Order: sequence, then C-alpha cells, then structure tokens
Amino acid sequence: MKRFGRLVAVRALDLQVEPGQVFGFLGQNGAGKTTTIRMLLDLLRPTAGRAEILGHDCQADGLAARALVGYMPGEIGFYRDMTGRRALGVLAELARGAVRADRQRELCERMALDDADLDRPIREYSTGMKRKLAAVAAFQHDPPVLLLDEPTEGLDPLMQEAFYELLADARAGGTTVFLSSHVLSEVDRVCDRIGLLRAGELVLTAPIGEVRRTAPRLVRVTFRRPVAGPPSAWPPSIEIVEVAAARWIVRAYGSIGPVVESLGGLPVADLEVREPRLEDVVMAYYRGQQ
Amino acid sequence: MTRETAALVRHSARRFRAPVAIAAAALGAFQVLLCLAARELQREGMFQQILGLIPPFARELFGPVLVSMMSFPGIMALGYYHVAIVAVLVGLVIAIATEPAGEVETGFADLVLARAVPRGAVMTRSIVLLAGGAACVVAAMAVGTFFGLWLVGPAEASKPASSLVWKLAFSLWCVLACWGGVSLAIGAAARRRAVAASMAGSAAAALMLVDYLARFWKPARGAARLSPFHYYNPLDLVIGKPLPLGDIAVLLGTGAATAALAYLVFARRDL
Repeated sequence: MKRFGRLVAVRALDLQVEPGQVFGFLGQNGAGKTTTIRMLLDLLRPTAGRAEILGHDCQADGLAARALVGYMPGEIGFYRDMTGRRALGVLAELARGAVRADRQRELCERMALDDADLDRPIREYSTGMKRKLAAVAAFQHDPPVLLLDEPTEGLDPLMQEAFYELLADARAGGTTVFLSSHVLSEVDRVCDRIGLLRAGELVLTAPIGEVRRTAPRLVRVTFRRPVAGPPSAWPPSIEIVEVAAARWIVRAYGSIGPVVESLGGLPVADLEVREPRLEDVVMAYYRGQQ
Repeated sequence: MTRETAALVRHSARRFRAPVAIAAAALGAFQVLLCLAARELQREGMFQQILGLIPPFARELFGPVLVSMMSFPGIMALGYYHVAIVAVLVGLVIAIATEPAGEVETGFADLVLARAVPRGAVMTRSIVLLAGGAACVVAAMAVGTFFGLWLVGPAEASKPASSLVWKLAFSLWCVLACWGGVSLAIGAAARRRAVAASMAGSAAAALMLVDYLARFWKPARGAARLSPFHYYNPLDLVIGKPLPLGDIAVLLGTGAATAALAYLVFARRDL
C-alpha cells in the first residue's frame, strides 16, 4: 500500500510475475501504475507491504534487486545539456553488469539513433528521441528484469515496431518484463498476462488468452425484411446493444449458441460475429461494470 | 569511494567545472589586483591618511580591527572577508549542494537510483564536489595572493607571512564547508531546486545580516551565535591572533552534522 497524505495511491495489490513472462500492467491515468513501479525500484517507500524482484526484497535488499533491473521511466529526466552519448555513458557506468560497446551500438541502430543524434545535446531531442535513448539505456546492460513505464508513448509507429521487436528478443532470451501501459492493442500484442489496476486496487489478473475468452463477442444480425423487436426473454448471456427494423446487434457472453437458437424462425440474411477483444474486457472494468 | 560514487563525481564535476573554474580564475585575479591596490595605497601613505580621518569614537568602536584593515595585509585579506565575495562563494556552494534536489525535480535521480546505486552515493558525490569545488576556488585565491605578493609585495619586514594566507584560506573554506552542509541538508529534503536554493540563500543572507548587526548592536549578539559567520573573523587573523580552533570546530562540526542529516533525510524520503 502507498499513501500520499490522504490519498491512497495503491491499496490492494497482490501479484506475482513469473520469470520469463511479459506482464502487462494496465490502468487508467492515476490508477497507481507508476507508483507501483517506483515502489519496486525503492524510489518510493511503501506505507505497508513489501515487494521482491527475483527473491530480493525491494527495500531491504534494494541494491541487489535493482542490479537486476533495466528501467524505462514514463517521464524521461535526462540533463538537457548532456549529449545522448554522454547520458548513455553515465548510465552504463552506473550499471552493475558491464555494458558492451557493441551491444549499445546495436541497440542504438535498432532504435534509429545514429552518431549525429548521439552527439547532439538532449535539449535538441524530440520526445520520441528521448524515449528511444531511454529504451537503449534500459536494455543496454541486458538485465534479467525490465520495468517499462508506458514505453511506447511518443514513439512513431515504425519505432513502436522496433521496440516490440526488442521486447520480443528480450522475451526470447528469458527476460521478465513488467510493462505498464494504457495502449490496449500493445498489451494484447506483447503480453502473456495482464493485471488491471483501478483506483489503486488490482481488479483483474489473468493470462491474456483467458481474458480474451471471457470477453463478449459482438454479433450483428441482418434480416431479409423488417422484423418485430427481439423477444423479451433472452437468455441472460445475451445483451442487446442496438435494435433497428432489419438489424440487431447483440453482445454474447460465452457461446453464441443461444443467439442462434433465439433467431429460429426469423428471416436471417446474415450473421456477423466479431472476435472477442481485450479492449472490451478492460473497458468494462474501467467503467466499473465487472 | 565506490565505483558508482566515482562515476557520479565524474559526471557532476564535468557539470560544475565551468562555474568553479570561472570563480577560481576571477577571485585569484582579484587577489592579485588587491595586492596591487594595497601597494599603491602603501606607497602613497594613504593608510595613515585614512586612519587620521577616522574620528576617535569610531576607532574605539571598531578597535584594532580598523587599524588592521588599513594596512597592506588588511587590504590583501579583503578578498577573504568582503561580503560580495563571501556571497558569491556561498552561492556557488549552494548551487553545488542543491544538485540532488535538481535531479529529483528533473527525474534524473530516477534514472540513477533505479540502478544499483545507493542513495548515499548521491550525497557522497555532492560532499566530494562541495569540498573539492570550494577548495579549488579558495586555493586559487591563495595562489593569487602569493602571486600578488611575489609581484608587488612590500619589503620582507612588512610582508604578510605565508601562514596568514593559508589561515585565511582555510578559515574561508571552513565557512563554505559549513554552508555546504546546511545547503545539502535543505537540498536533500527538497523536491525543487529553486526552492532549496532560495531557502539556503535566504538563510545565508539573513544570518549574515544578523552577524553584521550583532557587531554594532548588543541585543543581537545572542542570535548571532546561530550564524556561521559569527565564527569567521579573518581580520582577527590579520591582527595576529592564532587560528581560532573553537570557531573552526563549530564550523566544521555544523557542516558535518548537517551533511549527516542530509544522508539521513535523503535515505528516508520518497523521490
């Protein structure tokens, strides 16, 4: 738990991320995602409770825990008058694991930071360039754990793609990734498991496939001619979204069999089923419906 | 010093080398100019003339300090006690000491302390820079003084002893070390550098004024004991008094105690 005066930023959070897993930490702005990550890094001290990184207590054994971590903050705080190369150099010197020059060069190339960019002062960098530099700084010592706070915010689509590839390589190498985001498509694409934080409380934690399975499917039914409204006694697993003369849209939780059964005898022209999406589940949680 | 602390020291030294070098060059050159000015005043017999113009009550009020100011060593020592120079130097140590607050404000502290760097390393880095930066500037002043004495110093008999220059420089360094510790403690607790610097600067200005006031107004003398400047009397050294070890102990003790407080505060706070 973390309290700032009267505000409880994180209240009930009990989760475990398995080694080698990519964990998506979701939540709206102010839900407590960054606070959680900063507690893992011992930048904030929890009011109550404890956390561990690969068996090291984040507070009592914080140095050992942080030696295993690569961190990409949500707000990048480089000195504006430093060059990108100098910033990477300072952060490389502070990393316990030695940083190989060829690895740093490779990461810079993958994030499209050339020598001219690296020799410019950071005050001349755009937000996206600072993010790319922060990504290199987080990955350059090949840490076994990555804590990434909204890592693709401000990156253009090409660089987002390059970043996802970096992440995929890290995952293939056995790196554990804890990624906070509110970009659901990104989480859907890269994460194995998600945790959803709402107002400082963990309201959902599940493998991403399972979350998708629990998501409702949107079924659009088109009729050959106008029909009367839907029957009053629909099965409870079906929810009406929209009703028009010759078109119904319903949300089906679980199997769509009950929808098909309910349409018996009606002049159905077409049935379109949209696959369940992570967004649908998460948005429902955001709205407090589940 | 750990590897991480050494890396932080190198990084910050690079950031502060320009202001420290400029202050050292300017104040070193100023000491040379003061020696030149003192020689001119002495050559033209101005010291005696000025002293003759001062009314007896003023002489009584200021005591032997006034006479010591109106001498070659008194003018030579001006750089070590003039309020503007002391203010510049205190400003420099405040700038160095509030770097941790600036790093918290910009988020650079997050990048540094998210690695296996103990929070104490940030404080140790600042202490090394404070002690080293102040020593560089004060040493440059001493070198400027020696160069001025070599260039235009009076005859051997009335030439100020080199030990006086070192004592003046050391006393000034002690005041700066004290203010460095106080500013570091403020900087360790602050979230914004401007707030920390203005708090430390206001405290320095207020306590300097209290010390000045106490020199002329008895009721302020009790409060003046709270001012580090109360324990810094370079003109006493000029008139031949020994280095006041008690005052030096107070200055260094305050600097050490406030630096220890800074470690404690920075280790316990949320960043």
